[in-house]
Amino acid sequence: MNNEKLQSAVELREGQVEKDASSEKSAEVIEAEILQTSEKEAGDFINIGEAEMLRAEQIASAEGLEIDGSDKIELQALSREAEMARREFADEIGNSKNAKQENKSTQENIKIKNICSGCGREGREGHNFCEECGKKMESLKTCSGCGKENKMGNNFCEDCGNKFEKNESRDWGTKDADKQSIEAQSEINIIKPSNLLKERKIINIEGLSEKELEDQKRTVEDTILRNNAFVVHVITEHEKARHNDNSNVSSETTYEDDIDIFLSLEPAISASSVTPGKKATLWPGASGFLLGGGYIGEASTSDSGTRPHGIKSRGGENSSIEKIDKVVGRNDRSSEQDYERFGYNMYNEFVVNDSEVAGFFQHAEQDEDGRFWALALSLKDLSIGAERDKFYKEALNKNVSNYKKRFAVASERGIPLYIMTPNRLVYECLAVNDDGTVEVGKQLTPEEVAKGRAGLPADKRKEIGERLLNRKIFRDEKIQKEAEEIIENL
Amino acid sequence: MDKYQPAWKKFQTKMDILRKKQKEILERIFDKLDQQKLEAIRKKFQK
Repeated sequence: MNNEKLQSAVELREGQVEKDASSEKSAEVIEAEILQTSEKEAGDFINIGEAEMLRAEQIASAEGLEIDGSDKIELQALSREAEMARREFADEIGNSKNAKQENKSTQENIKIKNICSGCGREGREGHNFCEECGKKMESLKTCSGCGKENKMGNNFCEDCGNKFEKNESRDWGTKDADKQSIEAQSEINIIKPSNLLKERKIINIEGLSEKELEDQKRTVEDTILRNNAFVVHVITEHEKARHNDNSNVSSETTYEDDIDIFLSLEPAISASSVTPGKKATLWPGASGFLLGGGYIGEASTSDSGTRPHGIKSRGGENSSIEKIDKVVGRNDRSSEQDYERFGYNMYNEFVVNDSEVAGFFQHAEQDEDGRFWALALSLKDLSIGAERDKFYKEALNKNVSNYKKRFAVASERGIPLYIMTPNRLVYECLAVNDDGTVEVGKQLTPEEVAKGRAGLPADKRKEIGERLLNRKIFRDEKIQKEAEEIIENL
Repeated sequence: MDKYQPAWKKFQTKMDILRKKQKEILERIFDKLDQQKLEAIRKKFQK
């Protein structure tokens, strides 16, 4: 219902109020009608969001596509916002009623008059329209200091500046209490810097054979330097995408197992590249690894659905160095045209053999004030709503808690922590606050990844690997044996 | 009616903003699905 419709519906009721001497009941009916309208409006909004999301999920499921998790989170946050707006509206309607009652009983120093805005006639309390000329009545309050009649909204007298006493409403008290409790929880959770990764060996390319030179160019570090791009592997927590048929391990594996497999076995995995400053889609997931070592095999400008052949081998034949650069750097005309057309780089896929981790990242987004928010800006909406709404507060706490847990898993294993923005800038993560904001340190460049530490030392990999082998999570015996051999040879 | 107008206006403004955001996100979701479809077709042609 639009504003005009509401106006006419309410004005119709107002007419009834005038005819009714005991107007209190009719006023309640009006309020109920307005509240019902707001409920319907917020309800319709939520229903549209859910119905469209369901439609998108049905399309995605039927055609083997993926919905971006951050979009889904944002959409859900909007529904919560609509519900909060409705509640706020209901509160305000309720408060204007309460305020009216309070004015009658407690503000003895303020005399309230109903004056006709047309003829100036003083009307009876509770009448909204002048009994004489039919124009709207205006409420005025009389200053106890000088007697000047002021509009109801004035906090100070227009003539003498005397302050009108005003009772604090119940809601303000509640808001302050909630705010204090949120502030009390907002202690900064400093993340202890942790870096157990190996120092990089400096390779002297002088005297290398042609084949050795090509192998060197195939390394993740050389590829990063040539193309100024991060090489990333996203850890998906999405039920359908997680350990699908393309995976070596069962769907029973935990998030911690995923990290342990990666760190200890350094498997052949599928990866994507992102360029700092350019938006790009990635495999769905809140977190992932920045890769700093390994060898690139098959490369494709899109999702090539590479399959593993054991732990240490994946996909088809190695692509040429030119093809790798075209994929990783997106340095061809077609990629540039796609970026101009869509405004973001599309997901590419290439195999990284003997993958070495250089860092662990989670998504974060910067607001217009320069603050970083965990996951996406939708978390800021949750954070704002959490001051007033239990539902928002619970959702915020859950998201922040999961965010901290993911970082804790990586930090415990000695991996440096970072956040990555939608335009693929990477910053050191220093702390995650309970309100959903993230404290960041210096920005990381692809060059620093390529020249910095990567991969855990053998003894640490062995320790993690042995723990992993006991979990028997590999799909078949052959893979379990291969894992045992890798760990044994460390 | 007057006393409800500011709250109603505020509610309407908020809902208008939310509807605009919702439309943008839904468009983005379907655009991304279209892109994925396009990619799949492109991949088929490449093979």
